[in-house]
Amino acid sequence: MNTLSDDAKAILLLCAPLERETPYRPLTDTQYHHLAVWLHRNGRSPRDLFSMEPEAVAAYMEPERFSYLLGRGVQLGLAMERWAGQGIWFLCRSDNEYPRRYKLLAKDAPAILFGTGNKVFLNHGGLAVVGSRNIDQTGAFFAESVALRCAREHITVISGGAKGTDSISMNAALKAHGHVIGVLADQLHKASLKKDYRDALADGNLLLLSPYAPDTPWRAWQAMQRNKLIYALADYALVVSSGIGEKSGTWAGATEELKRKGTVFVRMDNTVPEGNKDLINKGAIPWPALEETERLTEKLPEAVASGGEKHIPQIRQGSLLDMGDALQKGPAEHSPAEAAPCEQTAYDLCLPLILKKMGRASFSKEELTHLAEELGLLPKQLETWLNRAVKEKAVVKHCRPVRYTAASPLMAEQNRQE
Amino acid sequence: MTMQERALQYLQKALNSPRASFHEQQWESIEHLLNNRKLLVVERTGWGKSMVYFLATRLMRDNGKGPTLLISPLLSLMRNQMDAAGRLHLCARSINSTNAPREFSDIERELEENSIDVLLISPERLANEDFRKRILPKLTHNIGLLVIDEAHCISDWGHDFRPDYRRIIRILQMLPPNIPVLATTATANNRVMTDIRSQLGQELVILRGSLVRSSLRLQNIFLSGVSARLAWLAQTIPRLEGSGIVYTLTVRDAVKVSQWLQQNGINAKAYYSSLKSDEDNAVRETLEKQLIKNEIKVLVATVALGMGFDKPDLGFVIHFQRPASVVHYYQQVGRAGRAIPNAHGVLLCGEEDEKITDYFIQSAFPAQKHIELLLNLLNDEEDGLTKNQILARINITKSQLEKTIKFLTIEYPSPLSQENKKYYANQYTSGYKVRWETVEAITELRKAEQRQMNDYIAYPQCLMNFLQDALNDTIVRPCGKCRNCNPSLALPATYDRGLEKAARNFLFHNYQKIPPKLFWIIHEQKKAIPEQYRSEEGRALCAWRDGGWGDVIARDKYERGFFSEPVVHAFAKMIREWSPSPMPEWVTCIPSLRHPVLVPDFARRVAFKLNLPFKPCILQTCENKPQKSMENEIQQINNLREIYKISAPCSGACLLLDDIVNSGWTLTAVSALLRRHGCSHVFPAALALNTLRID
Repeated sequence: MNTLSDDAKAILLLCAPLERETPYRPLTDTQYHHLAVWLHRNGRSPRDLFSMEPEAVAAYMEPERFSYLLGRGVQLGLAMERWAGQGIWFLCRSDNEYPRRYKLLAKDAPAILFGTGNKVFLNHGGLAVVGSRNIDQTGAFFAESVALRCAREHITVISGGAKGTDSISMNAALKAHGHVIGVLADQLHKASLKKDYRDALADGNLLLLSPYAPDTPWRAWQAMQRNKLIYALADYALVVSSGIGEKSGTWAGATEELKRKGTVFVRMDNTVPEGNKDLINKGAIPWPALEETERLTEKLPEAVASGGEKHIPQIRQGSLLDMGDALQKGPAEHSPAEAAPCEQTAYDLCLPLILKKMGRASFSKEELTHLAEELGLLPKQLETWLNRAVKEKAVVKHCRPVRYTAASPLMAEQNRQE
Repeated sequence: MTMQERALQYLQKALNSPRASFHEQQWESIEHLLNNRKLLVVERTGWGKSMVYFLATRLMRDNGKGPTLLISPLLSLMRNQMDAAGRLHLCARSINSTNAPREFSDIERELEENSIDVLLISPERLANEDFRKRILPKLTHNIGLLVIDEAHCISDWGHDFRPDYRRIIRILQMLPPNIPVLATTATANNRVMTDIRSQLGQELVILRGSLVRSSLRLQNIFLSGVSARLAWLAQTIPRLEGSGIVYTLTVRDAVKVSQWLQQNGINAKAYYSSLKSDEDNAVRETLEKQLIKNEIKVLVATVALGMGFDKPDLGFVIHFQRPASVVHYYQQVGRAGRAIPNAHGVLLCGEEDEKITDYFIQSAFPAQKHIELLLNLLNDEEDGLTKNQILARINITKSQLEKTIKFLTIEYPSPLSQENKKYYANQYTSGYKVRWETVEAITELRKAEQRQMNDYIAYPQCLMNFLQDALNDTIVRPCGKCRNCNPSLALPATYDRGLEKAARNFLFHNYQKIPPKLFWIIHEQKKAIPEQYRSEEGRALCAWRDGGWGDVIARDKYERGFFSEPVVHAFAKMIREWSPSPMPEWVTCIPSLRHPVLVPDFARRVAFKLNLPFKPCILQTCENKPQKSMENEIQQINNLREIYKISAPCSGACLLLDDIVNSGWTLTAVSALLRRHGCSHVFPAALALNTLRID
């Protein structure tokens, strides 16, 4: 039975897409992130929202929106019952089982995850195998052989469940009884009914996951959003074949991951498409040639080291080298009452405070020194954080003369969407 | 003004009575709801449970809350409830299968405008696509209050467990703490209440009142034969004041008893649920209204006339057969005498009762074989299958399939998934096991209920006290009105011998129509049968084992191996009375390699009596499986392919005889053959029609 805590119910009410046409939209992941940080700072849990006046959270959403979203209890009950009946579970950011690797995404961490299958793999890491839908025979053969190798070495294959590369690698690993995670952009429920998948789900070898409701139809932006969730679960990523430029989802996702300093391998041989070569120029590492007897768990770290770049994953827990105990070694589990994401950086925790202090005023460089003092920060630290906040559009920077203004959380979100 | 004072004003307005006051616990209930509590109210029908949610809705709407969602097996609110709602300016709408598309879009619009205050929906509809995709998204104002009517159905241990209520439990478990819930029932014993509390959480508040119906005069009369009971009904009902209900256990009995009563000049109508539920709901609603307005004297009903039916001045409830449990009985008999000083509750019992309730107990769950057949089939498929595709592949009846599907879909997790009218295996299918312990425990419970019903019949003391005790109600004193407390108030158990003879004649005059089939199924597609291949409407002498000819024919076929002279005589008489037009010119019959003599011998003797030539021109070319072992239409039709041939050219109108008609496909197929070989009309006629429907 999928029992839900009141914390989870509160998060679902605020964030779950329960109906298409609504007067108020559910919170985006980022919007919820800001609220969660605020709750955490005030020693509150999401469940406390049920007894709060809407005005208390006015900084994060209009009172009407708050009341509306939190009042969707019956709709929530109906939807959750149906989804749960289809074998789908939900993980909210407040849940202990919520993947640590996603908490690290901070404002990009999905507030809710829908999934079906074996949750155990969530924190095991693995190899992300991605690539375009249209894939030639060499590419398909390559994807298949890598997936088989992963299955043999008990490395989880993580992919997106799309046609082409994704399906080929997932199916190959499943056929060899390997472990697979599919991070889907749409139609979670329908996917779980496919013959190959339902057998693998029954055997406990497959986990299907999506940040979108189980009957959501395919949309391009969802697929893009989902890409970073594939990378985030993996220790390393492998691009089998990629188009080039923003139009290629594979290319866009890989470039993004490279910017995040993630380790991306790319298949390289004479036949690969232009996109693969381009990714190498952007810092990806060629997939090492492997003898039949060689192990990925040894070769990949070697390749990273000799790749000469600073490709060592810095924030991710668990790697192919210490897969077995990565789970246990994670940071101490926080108590359920502490709902906010625990693996936050100081920035995540301080930003809301900074924004609150700033209020609606705007600050010159000089005034920032005073602000830093009030906050008990070094001016340099405040400036670093403010510049990061500017990138994230939580703060607006005006030039000549330089002045900083806090964007309201809502504005920040709108800016982001624009 | 306090909330309670406002509520009282509304109550007086709703009842149109300035001096009305709250019943015990009514205000308390409302107050709990206003405080977002989850509440179970166990009060007898007529106590005013609907007033609780009307007033709560009114007060919550005044405070800007959203509408109330009322989940109820009822089709619509009763008239008096509608009136009360109207006086409170509450707009109530119901969503059920009788809604025309037009109404549906009206409801959508009204929801968008937030002008609906109470939305009534059946438990089955909750899972319905239309509701999910069309209605839910229109709820621009969130549901403020959730009401679950007939909440005893939630419990496996209730007398009337309904699969769809399992879904309701899970919905309730998913609800956040800021939604008030009201669950109501008139019948929940301690075990059921404990079960509901364990399902819905310890914070559930339970309010419970007395269940005594002080106007009821209970009595039990044992009359073993069907004809004796029919005679008693025909004699007694006209002498009873007001109008009432006669409950039967099967649809067939409801129809039969109502025909008998009509024949005796009593304005009676049969009430049951039919398979074509769309038109059926409208018919049932009309019948309910007619009874409420006393336009008919008596409704002869199955359990289909059940929950929530509320006629305050119902004068009597008579049971033609013994119900399955004491709780069923209390609920049904409790419909009488709600707002009148005296009413009769009579339980007639006879020899067949036990067999029928046994059958219900046995058939409550799908057979393991059917579950396995279905799941194995789906598990081997890449893609999903529609119902018809399933029926073409496995030999089970449509209703068996539906029962199996229903059972499996409410399992949790369910081993069966549905997506766009197709059924799929899922990740739970291969490891699925029926929890037979639960099934057995429930079956055992049903048998215990049956035994308790027998104890009630034999009980020498106050009958009302017996019912109260069974429902764990507090007993204060004997009722003083039942047959055991005060025999002088009871109805006489006697009946007129002449009436009984007439009843026996009636039972032996139970001609059945055999409707011509208009469609058949070719390659899983429903196709109209061309006009030139159809049969005419036919006749059967009786229904299989109907207490009249049906019993004689069963004995002749299985014990004697031939149909006796009285059967042939009665059959020929039926044909003459029926006098189909144009009159058949010759007689033929369905052959059988398994019983080569039985039917042809009978047909030859009938033809002789009718003075018509008998031409056995139909040949069976190969042995098929017995048609009655083919469990669904698609299998039946496939079983018939290519096995009958016509040996000679035909012409004119013919009479096509058979002994027992099950599905009717044999008659349909052979009629088509005869028409193709030159017959102008084919009139099927059979000894017995074998159909047994229970609700």
